[in-house]
Amino acid sequence: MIASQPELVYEPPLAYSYPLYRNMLDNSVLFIYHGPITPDLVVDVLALLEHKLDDSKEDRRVGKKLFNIMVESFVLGEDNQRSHALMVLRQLPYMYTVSMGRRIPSNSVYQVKAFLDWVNMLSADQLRETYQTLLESGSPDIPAYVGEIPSISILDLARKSGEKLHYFFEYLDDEDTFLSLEARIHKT
Amino acid sequence: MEALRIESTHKTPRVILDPENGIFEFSGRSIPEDAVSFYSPILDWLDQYAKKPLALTHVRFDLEYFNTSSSKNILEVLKRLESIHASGHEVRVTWYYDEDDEDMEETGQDYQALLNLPIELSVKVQS
Repeated sequence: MIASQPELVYEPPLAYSYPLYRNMLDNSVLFIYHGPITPDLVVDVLALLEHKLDDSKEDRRVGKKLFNIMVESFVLGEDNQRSHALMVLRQLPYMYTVSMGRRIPSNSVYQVKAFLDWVNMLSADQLRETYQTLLESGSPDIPAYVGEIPSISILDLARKSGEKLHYFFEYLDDEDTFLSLEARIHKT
Repeated sequence: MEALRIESTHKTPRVILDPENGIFEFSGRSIPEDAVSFYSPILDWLDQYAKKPLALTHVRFDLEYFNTSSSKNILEVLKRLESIHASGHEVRVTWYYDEDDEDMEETGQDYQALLNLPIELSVKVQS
């Protein structure tokens, strides 16, 4: 007999529900999505977000900024053959956070981390210049993709957020590492 | 030359390229499944128009939102217009943005910086 079997048999039904609810409440989660990212989904989520922002009487400038960041955040999770992406929108007292979680190749973690650290050191002017260079013709010094993510999308997020990008790597195995990347939007 | 008209969808913009009156318009959202496929016929059309453009072409961009893959394709559209302008046929581009949308304004400024083409940034009038 396998020792773990009784736990599976006697596990109360829907035992996952309250911990999930509690976790979302404790982390001020306004919206969470796990699944494939498609343009249709983006449109639906943005429509939902628009209603929520209208209901909460959010400042239009903040709402637009949040909208634009979400549009680009979805790009980070597109075409992900490794697994579906996770999108989390949080509403804290003084800011919103938009995070995209996805698997990336474990052997690209160093490159992704180095790129994010570099982006976080750029001034607003440097971000603009680098973004324009990538938009126009690319740069021999900057790879088009880091960890299967378009470099220009990361720059775009950093630029629109106006804040440092926050990230976390969770090593899964030699193949995959889970990357969480968060952009913050202050309400003032 | 026939006009090119593409109706908007919930993820692609409305595109009107009218060669008789020299009035071009891009409006709505641009987050297509495949941005290159969507913009290819537009670029091909502009290549044909560039062979015999009007003395003055007005171009209006009134976009709600778009992602970076669309940004690159829009830049290609603008580069075609830049070539027409450089050949001595005036092209005037107006880039509309919501007054609360500083990102859309900045994108217009990016295109101004990257191109030798008159691009006027204009705040949308709220209806």
